[in-house]
Amino acid sequence: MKPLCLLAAASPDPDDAHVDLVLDPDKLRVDAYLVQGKSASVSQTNENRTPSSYFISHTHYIEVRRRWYNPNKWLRVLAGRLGETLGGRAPRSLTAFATLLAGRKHSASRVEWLAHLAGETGHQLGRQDQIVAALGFVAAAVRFRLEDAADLAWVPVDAVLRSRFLSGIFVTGPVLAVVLAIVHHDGRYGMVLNIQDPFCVGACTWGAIFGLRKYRKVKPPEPKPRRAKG
Amino acid sequence: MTLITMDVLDVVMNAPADDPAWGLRICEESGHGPGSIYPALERMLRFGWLEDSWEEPQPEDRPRRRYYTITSAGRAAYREANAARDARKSASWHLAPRPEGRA
Repeated sequence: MKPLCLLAAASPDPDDAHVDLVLDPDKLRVDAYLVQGKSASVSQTNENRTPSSYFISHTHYIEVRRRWYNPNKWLRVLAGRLGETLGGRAPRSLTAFATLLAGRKHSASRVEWLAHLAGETGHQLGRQDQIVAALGFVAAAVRFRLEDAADLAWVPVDAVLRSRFLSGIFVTGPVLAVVLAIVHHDGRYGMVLNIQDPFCVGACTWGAIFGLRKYRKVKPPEPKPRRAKG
Repeated sequence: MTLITMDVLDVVMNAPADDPAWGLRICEESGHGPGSIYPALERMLRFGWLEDSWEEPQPEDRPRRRYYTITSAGRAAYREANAARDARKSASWHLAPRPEGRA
């Protein structure tokens, strides 16, 4: 709960800076000093306690956490600062930046985002709302990029999972490596003693490939039917 | 299926056919920001749960909107996710019936 105190102290909003929490983690006790007396859900649990000692109820903890961890609030503060810095062109500049960040693959998003900023008839977005939306576009562009990067990273993995031959190499390769290492270090007798090691490695790699196939919903091709003799 | 995906599908499914859902409206009706909504829409387009179309004809005073409509695969996925959620809820919150004959 310590970050709660830090966030409360760092709040830029003077209207909400009415709760100053001092936490005592050893005794799991919260001493709440009510500056403006707005925190009605903090209850004094023991009459013998000093007037400033309170147990904080879970509801109140959630309420305070929502107040300070509310991303929309911090986004609005950031939007205000950006609006001051960039002036009237802030939403469009941010949208252009988001389009650049999203890349050519998502270039259609630019028109879509500009239509979003334009709002609809009878419901135009205010300037601060536009900046908040444009910051959201930047966040969306970052996520597009991350998802594209993740897709790219899965390509070789999917290739291995789709091919029986490559999957076989990924299972037998580590097993052979372990066998060779054991024979090299401990000789053939060591191989007899450590026979469980290559089995474990094989089982783990096979399990990983089986699990990844399920996760990625990849099915390897059916094995070719063997030709009948004669 | 994530909460955002469910909310987006909710909005898209409930939009009238003559006025389909688009970015700003989905953000406002679902209560999520554009930073979450647009990647979710993109993902659903990739899965084939949604279809997109551009506003026709091009309006003169503003850029074109991108409209989203749900596909049959999206409806099926939504129904399946709703059923799974209901099953989870009933499993966690309903008490087992008391066996007969016991006080």
